[in-house]
Amino acid sequence: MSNVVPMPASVRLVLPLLAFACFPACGGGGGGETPPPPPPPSEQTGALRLPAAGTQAAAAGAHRADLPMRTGEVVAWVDPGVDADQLAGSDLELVEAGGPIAVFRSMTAASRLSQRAGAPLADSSEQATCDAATALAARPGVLCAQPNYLLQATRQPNDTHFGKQWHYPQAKLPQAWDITVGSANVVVAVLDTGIKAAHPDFDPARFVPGFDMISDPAVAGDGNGRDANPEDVGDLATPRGSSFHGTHVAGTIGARSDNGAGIAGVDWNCKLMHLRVLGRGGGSVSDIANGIRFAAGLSNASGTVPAQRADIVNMSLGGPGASPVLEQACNAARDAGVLLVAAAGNDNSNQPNSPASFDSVLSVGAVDLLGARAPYSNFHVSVDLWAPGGDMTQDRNGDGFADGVLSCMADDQGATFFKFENGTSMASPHVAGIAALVKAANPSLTAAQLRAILLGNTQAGVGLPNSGRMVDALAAVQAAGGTATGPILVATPSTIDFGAASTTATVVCGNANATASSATGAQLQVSPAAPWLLPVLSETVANNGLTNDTIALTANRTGLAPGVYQTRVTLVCAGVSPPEVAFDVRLQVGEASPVSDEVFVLLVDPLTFETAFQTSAFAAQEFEWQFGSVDAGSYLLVAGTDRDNDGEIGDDGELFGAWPNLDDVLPVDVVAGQDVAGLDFSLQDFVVVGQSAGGGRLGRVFRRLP
Amino acid sequence: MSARVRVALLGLAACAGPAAEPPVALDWRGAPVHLRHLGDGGVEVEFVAPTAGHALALRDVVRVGAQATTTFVHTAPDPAAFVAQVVTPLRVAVPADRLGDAAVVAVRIVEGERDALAILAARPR
Repeated sequence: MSNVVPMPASVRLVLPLLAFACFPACGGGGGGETPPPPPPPSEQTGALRLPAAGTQAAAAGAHRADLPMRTGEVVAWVDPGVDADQLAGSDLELVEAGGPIAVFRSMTAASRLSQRAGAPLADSSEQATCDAATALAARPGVLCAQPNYLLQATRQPNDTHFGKQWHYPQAKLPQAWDITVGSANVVVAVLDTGIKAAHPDFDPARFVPGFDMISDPAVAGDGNGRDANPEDVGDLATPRGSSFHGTHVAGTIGARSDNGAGIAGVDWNCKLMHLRVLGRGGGSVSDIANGIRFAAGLSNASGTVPAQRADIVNMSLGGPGASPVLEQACNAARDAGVLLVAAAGNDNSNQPNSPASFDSVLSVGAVDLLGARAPYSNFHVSVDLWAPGGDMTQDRNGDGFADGVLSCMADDQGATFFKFENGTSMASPHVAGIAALVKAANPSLTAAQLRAILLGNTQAGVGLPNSGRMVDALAAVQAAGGTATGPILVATPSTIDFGAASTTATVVCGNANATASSATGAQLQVSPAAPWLLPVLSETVANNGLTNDTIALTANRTGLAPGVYQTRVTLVCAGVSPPEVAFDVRLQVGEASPVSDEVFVLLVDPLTFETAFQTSAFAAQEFEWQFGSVDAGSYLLVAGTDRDNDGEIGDDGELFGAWPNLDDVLPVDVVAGQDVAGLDFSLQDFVVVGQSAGGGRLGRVFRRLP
Repeated sequence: MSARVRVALLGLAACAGPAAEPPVALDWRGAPVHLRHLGDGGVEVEFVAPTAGHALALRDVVRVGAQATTTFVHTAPDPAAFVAQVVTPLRVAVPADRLGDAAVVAVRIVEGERDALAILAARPR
């Protein structure tokens, strides 16, 4: 279709924290929640951007305004005999020169706002820095010039939503990815609800044949019993629709990664074997046991076995009590050389949950963003290892999203998107994926050795039961024989949340690569500037390099207005490549931060008022979503919540807004091959007394797509 | 003091914060339950189930004086079934017309033989 404009654009909506205004407060004494009283209606301002990164990059030569950089700084390689001072001028100030390398500061770029401060890409200091680099490179005597990019300490995938996957740095995956991103020779089986294979963040080439092991057609919902197609047709788990739980779990293990879109998976290359064992109402012992045997290459009720058995089996499922038949299946798979990983259960209980509690299965409990036991996670003595499972009652990193695990999702209407979920279901695939990385680092490892490495190379959590330890991808991969080429800087934890009361915290930092030389010359940088934070690096032995040294953090709330303050502390070392590692710091002043809710963003036909395109995200300080493609044309741009789930956005009690404002809505013209940027508008929380719900906004009802 | 005024005061007391002793015992001890006031005067009750496989249904709404008591039936998964270990919020709306002009909404949860009061909340005026 010639009139289709590909828009691989990230659309960014910036919102102040949204109060979960509708939950009333009730005093203690009961099991119900005790949320704060409803605040008055508030107004949120937003900014929408539709950048087209490829176009921008081409316009600025090879420079990328979307990459981290020292804004305003341009680094150049100057021809011998050229005095760098002579290159300075009205816009360029020489910062330093040493040999052929000179660093300049662009006054124009420095005077503009950064994207991090909300500036549109085209008008940002980052873009101006790219422009300055292009101009400098064209000057005589300059061999080349570029923005002074900040190199990453660890391998950072370029997936759009990777920044929201706090759970990966917590498991030290970026450092592990420096060593391995997985192998296509490793197979991970996912025993779950099946897979929504059409999700764009899956690579079908990484799927190996699985099976739909559900024997009861009523449970399967696909018109038959067992068959070779593990596609998830839905389990109707709630009145609102199906869970597509297997898609979320599989996304954590092996979504397409470093592909510039969507999320990252734990393992970037492993093969995925989907075994559908959960349907409407859950799954049975016989179906799950047969799924385990299929994955292990053992005889089973399907009458077939895979060409290559799975190396690892993930089971984000469970049920109470013993199940001897299921345990026999697990034992047989273990004996066949398969590592079985399962969710410990969500009952906030010290009771065993099967299959996780079997000796032949590695049981995984869930931790929150701070590394403490998630409030729902079981903590039976059989829990072997802890991993990120999230806690969606919290937003401890202040990113505007509840602290869930972000992965692939679908709905019963066939839409595919990304969603935060929490549970031990989310913790287990982290461990399964890391096990696949370990296997990739050393393919000769047996399942028993894999298990021993995962359990013997961990990191401390926060008060985990039974002296529990958290999974550590870096340590496990290193223990498997994977090596990095130089020092690897680490900082633990990767996020500090002072909350509303704490004033001190400690981060332990050091060189995680014992085989490499020390990292010396450590310095701390805080960006954006945070006068409320005092970080002090303390070396246990002076000048011996980083060796389990500490960064003492002190927060001072004096004079700060209520709200959430965030910054990032970066530890930079000389002689290390890559040279830095960073951790985020959050400070709450005043009341606790609220939970977000979903905002639907619609492109509407201005004549018929029919919704042409839709995307959604969770209301927050900042979030992104994507339109896969948009037809050229003219649209109204509206956004709002649908808290009453009636299909209409902007009812009373819901957020609503339109571009550029509700009083004077204008069409957005989308032209083939042309960026659309700078679409700022506000959302308001409507509570209209004495007016019926629905309609009325702009005299129209705006319906979200199913 | 009329019953209507008295019930309204109960709602205010319950909202006053942890320091206030609730005159009515909230004796629900199960999964978290939230109440959300919708803009049209209705409410939405959210039951945060620990796993997949749970169900929540509105059984009835009983009006007594200024209080509307909504009773929900929670059904756990079949004990023999294995279910996905994902926290699953279940939301059920109660239309405004079923609450009428009640000043206070009570939420009761029934689980098998158990019947417990989870929330007692004043409605926005």
